[in-house]
Amino acid sequence: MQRSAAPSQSRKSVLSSASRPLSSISQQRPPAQTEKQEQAADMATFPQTVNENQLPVTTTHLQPRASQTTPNSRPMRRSFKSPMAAAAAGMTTPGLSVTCAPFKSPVRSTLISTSTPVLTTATTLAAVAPTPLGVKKRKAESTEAPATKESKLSESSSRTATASPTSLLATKPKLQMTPHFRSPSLGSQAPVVARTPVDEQERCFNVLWRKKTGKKHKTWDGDGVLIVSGSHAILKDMDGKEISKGSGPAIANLTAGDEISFAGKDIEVASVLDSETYRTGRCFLTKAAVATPPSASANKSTLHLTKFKQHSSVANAVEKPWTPPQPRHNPDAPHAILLPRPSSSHPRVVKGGNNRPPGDIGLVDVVVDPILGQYLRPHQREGVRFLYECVMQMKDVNGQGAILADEMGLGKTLQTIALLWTLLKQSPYYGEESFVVKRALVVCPASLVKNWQNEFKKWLGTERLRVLAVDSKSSITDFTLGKVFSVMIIGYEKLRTVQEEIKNVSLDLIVCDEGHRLKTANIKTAQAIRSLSTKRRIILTGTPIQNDLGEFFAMIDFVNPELFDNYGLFKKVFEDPIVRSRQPDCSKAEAALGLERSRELTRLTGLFILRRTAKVNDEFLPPKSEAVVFCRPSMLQRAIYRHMLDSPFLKSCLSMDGTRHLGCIIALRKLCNSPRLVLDSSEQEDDADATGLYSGTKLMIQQNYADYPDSSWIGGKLNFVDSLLQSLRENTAERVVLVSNFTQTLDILQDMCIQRQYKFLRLDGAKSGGVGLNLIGASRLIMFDIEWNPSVDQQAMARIHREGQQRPVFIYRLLLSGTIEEKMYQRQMTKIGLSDALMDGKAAERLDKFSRDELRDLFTFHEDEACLTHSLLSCNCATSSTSIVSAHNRSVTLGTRQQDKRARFLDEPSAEQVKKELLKEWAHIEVDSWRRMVRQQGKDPIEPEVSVRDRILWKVLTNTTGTKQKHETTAESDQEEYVEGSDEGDDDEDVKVEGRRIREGGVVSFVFLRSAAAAVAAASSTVATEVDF
Amino acid sequence: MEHAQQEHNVQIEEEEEEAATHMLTEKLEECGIQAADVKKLKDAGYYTVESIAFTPKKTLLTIKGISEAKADKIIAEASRLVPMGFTTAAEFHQRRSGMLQLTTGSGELDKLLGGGIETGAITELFGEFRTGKSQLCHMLAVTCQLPVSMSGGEGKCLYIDTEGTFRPERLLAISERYNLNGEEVLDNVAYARAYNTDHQMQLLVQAAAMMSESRFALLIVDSATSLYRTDFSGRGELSARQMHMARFLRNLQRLADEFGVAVVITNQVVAQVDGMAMFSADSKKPIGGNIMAHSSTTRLSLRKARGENRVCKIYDSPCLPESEAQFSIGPHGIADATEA
Repeated sequence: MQRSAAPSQSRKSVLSSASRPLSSISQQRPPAQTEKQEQAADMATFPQTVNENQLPVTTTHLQPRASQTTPNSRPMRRSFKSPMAAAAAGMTTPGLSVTCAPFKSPVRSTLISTSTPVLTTATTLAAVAPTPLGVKKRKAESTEAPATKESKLSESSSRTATASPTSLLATKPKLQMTPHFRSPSLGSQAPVVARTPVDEQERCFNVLWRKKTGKKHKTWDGDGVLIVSGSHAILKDMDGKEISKGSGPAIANLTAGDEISFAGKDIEVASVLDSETYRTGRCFLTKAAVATPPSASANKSTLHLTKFKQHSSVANAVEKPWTPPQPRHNPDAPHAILLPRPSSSHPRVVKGGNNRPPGDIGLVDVVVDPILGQYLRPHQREGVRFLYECVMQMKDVNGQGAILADEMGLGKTLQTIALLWTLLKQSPYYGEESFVVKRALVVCPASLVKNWQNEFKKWLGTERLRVLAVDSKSSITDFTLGKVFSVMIIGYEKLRTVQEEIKNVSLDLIVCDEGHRLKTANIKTAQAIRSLSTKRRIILTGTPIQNDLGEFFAMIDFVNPELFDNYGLFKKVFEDPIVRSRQPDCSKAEAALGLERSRELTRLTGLFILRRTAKVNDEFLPPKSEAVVFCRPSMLQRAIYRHMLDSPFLKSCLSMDGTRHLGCIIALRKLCNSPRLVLDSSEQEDDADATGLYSGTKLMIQQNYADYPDSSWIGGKLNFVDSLLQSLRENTAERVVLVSNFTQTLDILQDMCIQRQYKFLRLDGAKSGGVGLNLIGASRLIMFDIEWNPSVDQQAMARIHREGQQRPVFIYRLLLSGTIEEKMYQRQMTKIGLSDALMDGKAAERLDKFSRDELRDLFTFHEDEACLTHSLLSCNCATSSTSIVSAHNRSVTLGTRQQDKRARFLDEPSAEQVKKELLKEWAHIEVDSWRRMVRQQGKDPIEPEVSVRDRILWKVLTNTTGTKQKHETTAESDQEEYVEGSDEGDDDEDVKVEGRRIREGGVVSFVFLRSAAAAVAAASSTVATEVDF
Repeated sequence: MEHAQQEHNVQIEEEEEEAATHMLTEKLEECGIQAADVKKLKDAGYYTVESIAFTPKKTLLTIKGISEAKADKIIAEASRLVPMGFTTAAEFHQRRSGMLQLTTGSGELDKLLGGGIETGAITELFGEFRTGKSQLCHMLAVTCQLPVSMSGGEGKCLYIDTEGTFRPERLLAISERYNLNGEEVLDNVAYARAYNTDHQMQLLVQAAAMMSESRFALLIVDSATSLYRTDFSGRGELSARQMHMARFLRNLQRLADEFGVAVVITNQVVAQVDGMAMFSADSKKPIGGNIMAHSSTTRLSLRKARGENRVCKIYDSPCLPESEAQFSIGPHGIADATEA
């Protein structure tokens, strides 16, 4: 080919000439031409290369300069031929060429190849790069021209050519430029004159302004707009505010690039502004679209370089010796957590590969970083492993999602952080990037964003990982655009608002904290999350997963959408048969089918759902003891209770349907807390119906018990709390958490604390006992009243027995014996038993509803019972208070029918389970007889395993606090009959009230105790010494 | 499974495109900087967000059309996108273990350098004439194109020549050694001739533009100091020369930081004609003074040994001990020393 001939010849020519270039000023990038010119140039080179030793005479003295310039400016566009040409050309000098014009130096040959294009292109110059004139507009102009170019072999040569004519035709471009340059601003007819009647010569400029200074290094204070009309001008800043105005001769002929002094300010005109833009005010808008697309693209195209050309075959190169990849952390360290490898049949595993020995499968060990690994408990290690396997699709599930449903306090946050850190920094596939996840998103309730950020900081510090916590006001561009942050923590609500921006970001992992929010699949938040691009999704939730299978499905569908294609399918295959099989009237076949299906569902979901209960934590935490304390109602409470139950209002509730039940229930619960609450309510109620309930009460109180010193004290539970706090204050320095569901109760407790001079801190509403709060500074928790929903109470109780707790924990649940509270407790027990049996929707539904019988039973006051619950259990330990049997010796008869037909547990299999638990795990103490025996025998009669480990409770139960009577010394002596917790020896006193014989005794009538085994075993020897009378 | 594999491949390709080490200035438009300002920045030579984040504010103020308020805003936005804070040394160590090192063609020399020429740092070669500085540069211009598994850089080379010693035919000869396509090898080398020190500085601006667009592995300036010797003369202009040189070297370092390229500069030597020099073995020292000395990360001195062999000694390095290695210059580039 002629082309290939040229280089060799030119090479020779270069070697022979060996000329050295002088330094000369390089010119701007030569412009491009139209394609036609290029082709012309192409054509031109062909014939020329043949007779390269001849000279076209005319423009030789220019070419070297031209060809000299081009190598400097556009080296990368060179074809194979051209570098030689360029290089050779680069060797020549203008001077030399001039003098050597007649000399047939081979060097010329290369110049010749560019000569003809010079001739051809000179005439057809369209847009030419002028010599640099330093005006921005012109630069834009010049860079626009190359936009039309494409890469061609001889393009370089043609470019060399076009550079040369610039000097020749310097005037031409200028002529071309001038009208274009001037068009928008000057000119007698301003284009937008028609709009306004204002003077037609108004011109606008974008300017930079500054106050006059004598400084050496001046800077511009700001941008502005200068509006010139005639020789009068106004300067406005970018907010549209007028800065100054003035006039002068210099203003009349302003052009871009001028610097003038104006009204005490220095102004530099940056560019001309379209009048219309100013008039419409667009120039002041922040994201004003300044039209620079042409220049932007032109900019790009002048630098449009070819990508790096890879070399397909390389020989004689010494390959780097292949070292087997090393895991990032030592897998043989003592407590290293080695995560499982994907199997070799995993889709992403690539066997072999560049310079790997053929047997190598390209996997490397992934080890959890010891900075986290050393702190992980066994169940947490298991959890991290489980999550890793799910996310890496190593389980036999068509999806990459997981649900971590550990109970509260088990460290879900820590497990998630460990997993995230591992995925961000390591990858099992060797040879690709060294991480699996590049960007991750954590979505949580807005109030927990800070908490998550603190957790990240606590475990990983601030240098290793930068985490962006987005609150409602900040923008997320730092995460989406920048490289600083790898993890973003965002609230659910905020995610909804930025949904559009997030769509464009490629995320690799999403963690949804408190994922039960996703249960209702229709809301925008859930949809927003669902629309995110990644397949790796993790849900963290602490509460039992579902109340019905539909919610269960919603959660599964989020993490593994491909598991069940749609809800319809799931419903048909699983939900319907399972629900059907739970109906009491299903056939045997249906029951069997439902069982099978439920088993299959459990198996399927067990692959990606992990749940552990708090029991796994028990070995690490200090022991926890629970006591359910049944307190006796006080006289006043009893009277009011009875009165309420007899009131016509309540009786009417039973007979007709309506919403009054709730009011009645609340009234009774308030009463159980304290009579004062009822008193207060009666003064506040406006509701006609409710007043019916309260008015009589109030009347009754005023009539019969007005002499009482302070009716707020007279409440069984309050007395117990008082004693307990007293005992605590005297004997320990422990802190106590008092929890109640009524703020009015908290008011009363607050008053008590003030009076007793206990220091307290009050948390109300969402802050209290709710999601995510740690109260591990306290080691005693008193649940003052009870809720219908067991998980609410469980959450509250879990506040103190969790990571970080250092003392043994004691939890007291107070119930007023024989009242509605006991019924609530029984229901709670049953619900708990049911919730552990997965997916038992029907039965749970039943628990939410009351039949009429049940309602009637609810509104019954079992005054005589020391503990109604205990009676219902038909437990062998005596209800007649003559003997107390330890738990181990009890033989449990699980009778289904109790003597008391008015109340019963639901006859479900799980109810049996609950009963079993209540019987086996808890010690039952009938307090009066127990106290008697203690006094008689001088020691705890119950066997060591189940005796009262709790020293404080012991003291309270045995009435040894001594100060119990203090607050009642203000009472008149003739009211001693109402004093609770009478002195020793008074246990058997019967008090006559209103003609009925009531057993009066201590404050507490019954106690269920459950102690952690460890505490029991540990402290067993110290029982005897604690009895002191 | 195949579908997953395909998806995975597509994902890798996309990731490769995304995984550039730098961000283009256009990204700032999404942060609220006006397009006109972005254009001004690019015209002034700031093609990447990193370059903007790394410059002090007063340098930005010298750009025509940027006022103080704007400069503040631009720097604030750029700093938020670029990691400029602390990290642990463990992380940094991990990052460094992924750093490429370009082979020089001679195994001995590579071993001396601990694997090859480091990317992301400035390596200075100095020595008398005929010691092989330019030859080594030509060799590196080819080896930087080799695949990573062969200790190459898999990227283009940018060659700034001040003395006119660039010979593409040498590149062709070297590419024959590796059996590469000569045309493509030459295509991958961007060549520029610098005519004076100002031009030399100006070329770096263009270099930044080019590097932001394609993948470059190496930047060679041969030689960095020859023009300074003649552009600035005498004691009077000494400080001006050193300041200019300092700026130039700072710009080189900036390019190395931003784009992760290896920067190789060659330096001339000056004979020491004082009496003291007669007694010391090495009577030539590199020019440039302390500015040059402190700016380059690794300094290698070359001297002639017997025949075609040359000796390279490490003069200054942050982590390599002072030792020597021999290599030879042959028709196909740099190779191990030959026994003559």
